[in-house]
Amino acid sequence: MIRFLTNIGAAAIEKIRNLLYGLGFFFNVLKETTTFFRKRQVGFKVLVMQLLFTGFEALKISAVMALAIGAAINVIGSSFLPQFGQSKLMYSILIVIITRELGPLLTAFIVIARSGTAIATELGTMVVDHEIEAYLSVGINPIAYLVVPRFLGVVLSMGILSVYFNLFGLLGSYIIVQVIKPLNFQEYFGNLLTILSVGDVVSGLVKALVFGVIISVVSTFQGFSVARASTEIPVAGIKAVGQSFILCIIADVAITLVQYA
Amino acid sequence: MAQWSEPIIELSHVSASSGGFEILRDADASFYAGEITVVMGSAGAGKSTLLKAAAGLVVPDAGTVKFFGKSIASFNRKEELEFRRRTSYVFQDAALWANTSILGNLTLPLSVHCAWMNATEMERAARVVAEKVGYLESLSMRPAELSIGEQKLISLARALVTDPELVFMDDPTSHLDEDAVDRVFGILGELKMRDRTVIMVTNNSDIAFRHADRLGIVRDGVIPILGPYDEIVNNEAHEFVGIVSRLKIRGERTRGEKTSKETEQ
Amino acid sequence: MKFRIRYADQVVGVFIVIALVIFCGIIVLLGMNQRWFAKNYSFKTRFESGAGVSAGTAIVMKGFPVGKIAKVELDDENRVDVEFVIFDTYYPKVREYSLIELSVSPIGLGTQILFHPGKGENLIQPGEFIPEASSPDGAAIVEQELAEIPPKDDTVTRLLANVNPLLEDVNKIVVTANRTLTEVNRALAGQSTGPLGQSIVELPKTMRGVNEVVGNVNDVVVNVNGTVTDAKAQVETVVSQVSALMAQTSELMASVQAITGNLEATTEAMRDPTGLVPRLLDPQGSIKTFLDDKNAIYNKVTSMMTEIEKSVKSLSAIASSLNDEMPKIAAILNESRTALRQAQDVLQGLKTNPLISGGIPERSEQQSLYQSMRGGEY
Repeated sequence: MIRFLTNIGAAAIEKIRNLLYGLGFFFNVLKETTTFFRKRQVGFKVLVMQLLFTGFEALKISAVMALAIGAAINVIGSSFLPQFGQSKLMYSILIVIITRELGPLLTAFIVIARSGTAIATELGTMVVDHEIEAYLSVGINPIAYLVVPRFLGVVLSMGILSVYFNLFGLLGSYIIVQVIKPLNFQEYFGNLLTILSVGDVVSGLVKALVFGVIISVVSTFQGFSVARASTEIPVAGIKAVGQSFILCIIADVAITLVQYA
Repeated sequence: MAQWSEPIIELSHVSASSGGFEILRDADASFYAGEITVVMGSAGAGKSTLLKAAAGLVVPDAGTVKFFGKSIASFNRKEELEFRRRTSYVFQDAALWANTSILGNLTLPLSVHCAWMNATEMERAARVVAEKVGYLESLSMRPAELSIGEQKLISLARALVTDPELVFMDDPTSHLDEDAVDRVFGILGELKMRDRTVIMVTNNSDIAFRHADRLGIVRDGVIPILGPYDEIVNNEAHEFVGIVSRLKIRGERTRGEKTSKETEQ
Repeated sequence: MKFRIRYADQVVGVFIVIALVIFCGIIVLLGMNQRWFAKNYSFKTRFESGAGVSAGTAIVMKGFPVGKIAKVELDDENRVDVEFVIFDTYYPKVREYSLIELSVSPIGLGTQILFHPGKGENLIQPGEFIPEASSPDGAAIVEQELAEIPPKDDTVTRLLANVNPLLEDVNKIVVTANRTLTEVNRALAGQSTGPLGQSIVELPKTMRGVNEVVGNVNDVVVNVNGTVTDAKAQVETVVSQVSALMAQTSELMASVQAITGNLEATTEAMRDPTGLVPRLLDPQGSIKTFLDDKNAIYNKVTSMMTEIEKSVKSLSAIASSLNDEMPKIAAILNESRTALRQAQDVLQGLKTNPLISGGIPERSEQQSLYQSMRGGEY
């Protein structure tokens, strides 16, 4: 019994210690981010490559998903809403789902699946191969050189991808509208702009940026947590993905509550 | 040989562990500037951990590591950068950065410590140091495309590209062929001539015989023997130490010169 | 090296720039569409209730948004003060006698704020008050048709406008019934101080009173029975007298009838020139016999007349005795009627249950329907 209690206590202390360590890591990242653009940046190239990989290369899958979802929403809505004489609600539904809710969340899932695992495994491999120590020996802060460009790259990519997701989602919906009930583009777009508000755009963007922060911090943290064995590298990748998913969903709920409160 | 009164690196009661195992136990060591100190010991004795602790790459569990009398742990960012500018490290397994080319590996330290140099100058400096270590292949290749020996050479070149005052070397001649080993020896002689400090851990008694000004032995996490090479080797009390006895067999000779056997060849 | 790796900077640059252009474009178009920088004209109004009205709610005129609500406040006097703006493109429609209408959807689809332009010449200046359609000022404007108010073409609204009064009546009835039942419950629980409650409290006394009344009714009924019996006996006497008289009268009438018959025959005979007259005039005829019967017929007629006179006298006596008895009979009949009325009242009272109706209802005398021309009031 005492051993059981001891184990629980030790596990709790370990969890709290890890949490505090994680928070310390996060604040360290934020601190280095503030000085990133003031220095003559060796990490700038890393930032560009991260934007290329996380943002540009994810554009294809993000666009396809957005087109499909926008089309699906329009098809489903067009079959239900006219029965209640509420065809105009289609625009509100599109905006709520694509701009406010699903857009940022699905983009986050794409980025987690692609970049979250990549970042965690890459950094884990670097730890195992002593590359991190090599950076330290040269006087390069690994957080400033490795984490901050990835942090900025993922956050910026999330924001940019969410803009493209909105564009393709609403465009996909328009394409379907043309098939079901052809509508002038100006009229469609005008109706959309009437319903769309700055709050919708800003809230979608805020969510995307928050998700970007979560994904990058969690992935880099898990990457650095690899000790010495190469078998820990895929474990770090899996943990990064799982934790990122959960934290993104929690953040989504929290932001939505704040918006509608 | 320049002799500083104050050690350049001083370890005081340093204990360090790795993976839950205690590697160093209450180790004391002093390394002086302008000298080549070779630390030897059996496998798993704690040589690499000692070197990393001295280089500030491992945070000791206890004790202090000082650089010219100032604790490394108390360095601010500027002091740490200065420390890194004046030192460099050659890793046992090369530890090249896989996501960049050989040129990138060599120019990155320059971009940190020699920011006044432009890209062309950095590339030129990188080529010079790569040739010095005997690497004549393309600098645009990735480390994964090189053999382990070539990677070791590039690692050595990376450590020397900024002309540091103090070089930490972890078994620099492992995985190297004889020609490459000769080149390493030549580099060590050159560093010696230029009054640079080298702290090296190795199992290669040749290096110790030919270049060590000071010799240290690590055993079971402690450093029972550390001192001038001749004193250690000629001390009868150390005859039981295998390493010392093998060095003693080599006999007396002028430091840095080749042995008679090598001259015959 | 792959193209995009070699030109990573350019690719990423284009990627970011396009996204920025799209984002900025959306913001600019939003601003243009939602008139962020357009001039709006502010006015005030007052609503009965602020339910369904919030800042940002659109103000619509014939389906087109012409403005929006800027602020909704509850003032110290519990009135809902509303500040709203009209877009600059529609300001020329804000003329004198314009109205604002708060239209609540009866089927729960929210509220709509409608703007009805006035028919006046002058524009209403920004900052001035525009009345709500259901306010006194607004209603006056509507009545005088000084504002353009389109007909409500909503079928449901029309239907529900008809149903609303019925629903209100039903509501009143339900409320009244509820109140009544509450009062009944309280009365039955002895907590009510109203007439019903007092009746419940005084029920034993009432029952005693009822018993007394019933006793009185019994006495009255007994008296009535006696009176009726006396009257019946008297009536029987009179009836027997009348019967006797009627019998005498019948005999008399039979005699008269015989005489009449004879007279008739005589007249016939007299009419026949060869019959009665000659026979009568004949020395051996009836007239001779009649005239020479030594006063036999005269004596017969005299006795008959005497009998008739007696009968008439008897009839007269009966009639006068009946007249004498009539008041008594009338009194008896009145008493009987009164007793029966009382009994009826008691029975009515018991039947209608004083516990609910609050006592025996007052009898209302029926007015004569006949009115003389001069009886009417002008």
